[in-house]
Amino acid sequence: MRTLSDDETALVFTKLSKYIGSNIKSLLDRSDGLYCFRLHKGRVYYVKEDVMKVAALLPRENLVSMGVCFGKITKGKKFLLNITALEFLSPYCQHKVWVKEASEQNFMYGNHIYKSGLFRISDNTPKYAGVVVYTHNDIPMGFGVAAKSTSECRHANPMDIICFHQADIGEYIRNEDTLV
Amino acid sequence: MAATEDQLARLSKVKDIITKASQELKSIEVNREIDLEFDVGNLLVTDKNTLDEEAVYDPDTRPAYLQSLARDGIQALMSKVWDLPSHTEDNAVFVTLPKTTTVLPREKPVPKEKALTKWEQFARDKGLTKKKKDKKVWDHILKRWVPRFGMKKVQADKEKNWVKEVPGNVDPYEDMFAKEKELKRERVAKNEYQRLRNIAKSRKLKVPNVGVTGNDLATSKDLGVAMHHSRFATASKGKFQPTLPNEQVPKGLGKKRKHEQITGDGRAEKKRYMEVLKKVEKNELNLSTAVHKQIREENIEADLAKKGGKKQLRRSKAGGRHRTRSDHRASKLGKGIHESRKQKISKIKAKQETGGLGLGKGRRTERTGGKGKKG
Repeated sequence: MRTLSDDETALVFTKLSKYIGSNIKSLLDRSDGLYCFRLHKGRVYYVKEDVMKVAALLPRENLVSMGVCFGKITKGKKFLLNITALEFLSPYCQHKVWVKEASEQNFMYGNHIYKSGLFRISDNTPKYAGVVVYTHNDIPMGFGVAAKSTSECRHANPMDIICFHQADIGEYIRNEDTLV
Repeated sequence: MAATEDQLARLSKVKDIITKASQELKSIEVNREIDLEFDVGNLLVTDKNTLDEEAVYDPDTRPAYLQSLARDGIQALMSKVWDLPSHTEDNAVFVTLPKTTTVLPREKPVPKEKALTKWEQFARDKGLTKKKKDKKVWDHILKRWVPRFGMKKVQADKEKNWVKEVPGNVDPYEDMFAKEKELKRERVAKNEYQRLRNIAKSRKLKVPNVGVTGNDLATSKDLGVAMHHSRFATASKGKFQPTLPNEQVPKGLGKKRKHEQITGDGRAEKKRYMEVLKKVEKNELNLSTAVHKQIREENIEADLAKKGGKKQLRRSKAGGRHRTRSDHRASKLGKGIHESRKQKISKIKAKQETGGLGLGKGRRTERTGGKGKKG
């Protein structure tokens, strides 16, 4: 376990800001204690400081996880966001996509969202912005990248992809072994 | 008769003493169910008999019982000690204790085997053995026995090599003897360096391997490091050092990354996060200008598509071509970078004041206008 270097922190924040914009401050300024980011086995964990201090006592091989795993930093210095971060992204996200009941399952199996499955999209979503995908009942289901901006969506064909799949809650079952 | 009574009394006294002594003698013998074990060298006696539970649990009888056990044990040990051969010095009796039989655990860990030097490793791998060398060697040129090393050997060498052939490709004015001497000195220094390096290696010390010996010893990595040092040791730290036509600039030494403490100051860490966040937001701002641009272009395209893609020409009084709204915007797309950038920056600044993206009709009123400006 180690702290993130400034470059790595910038990586993580850049990725997070794509989804939650300036609300990263609310992740850091929390009323119920100091939270911090730690790297362990290549994965970035968002953990309360008290918990982290206890976890620091464990040997490296024996520590599996602590706090919430936000994602992992690859060898090529890229930060990949994990579905386990959804709980923290959904309340603060700026752009949302709602999906029809019929294509909920499709998205949860890892496919992209087509115009035909789109129920609603938040206004002024720029192209290639990070979005959180909701079911029609306002339950967060995963996140993705908007393939088309809101205005483009209006003119899109039914078979056009309007949201690229990044992560979905079905991964909890599909990628059970590698999720951590 | 009084004498015999006295004698009788004395006799009985003697008898008492003898019986007492014999009884005491008995107590010297110690008999147990399980024999006591002795380690006379350590003066150790081990009693493995089971304890009399009644005697031990009862606090009244316990001390006496345990003491009797201990006494018996020590008595047996002492009898063993007295059995050993003894000698007397200065009115004192000495006994040499035998070797100990109990195995004690080590106080310190097992000493590690000494690491082999590079030559020893090589010799072992190749299966070389040490061959005893004679002190004197037969020299067939001088026809006598010459020592293998030392002053007399050097003199003999001088005798033999009084003349040196100069090969054709060598500078005729170069002092060949001095060159030989120099090479010899280098070889000696190299040997010394290797010896010290072996010592350092065995003591786990660090030794610089750059610039100490000649280039034959260096690996490509060492050469790279040497090149880095030669570039770096300049006033500009190698930044403005000229290179040869096809020379590759050496990569340099790797730097060991140092991370912050894991459980350091939480507030200081939060501060660092905030600073990084500021930087990230600045970069994001540049991104948002690109996003703005994209949106504008989309709107322009949408407008042009609506109008059918034709520019309507109408003659104006001013003499210039009357341009429609979309024409202006379309023309701005093709404008010079600086003009459109200036407008974009002013737009973003205005946007920051109002806060957030403001697409739609509100934007158009803020435009600085393109009517007066021509590309």
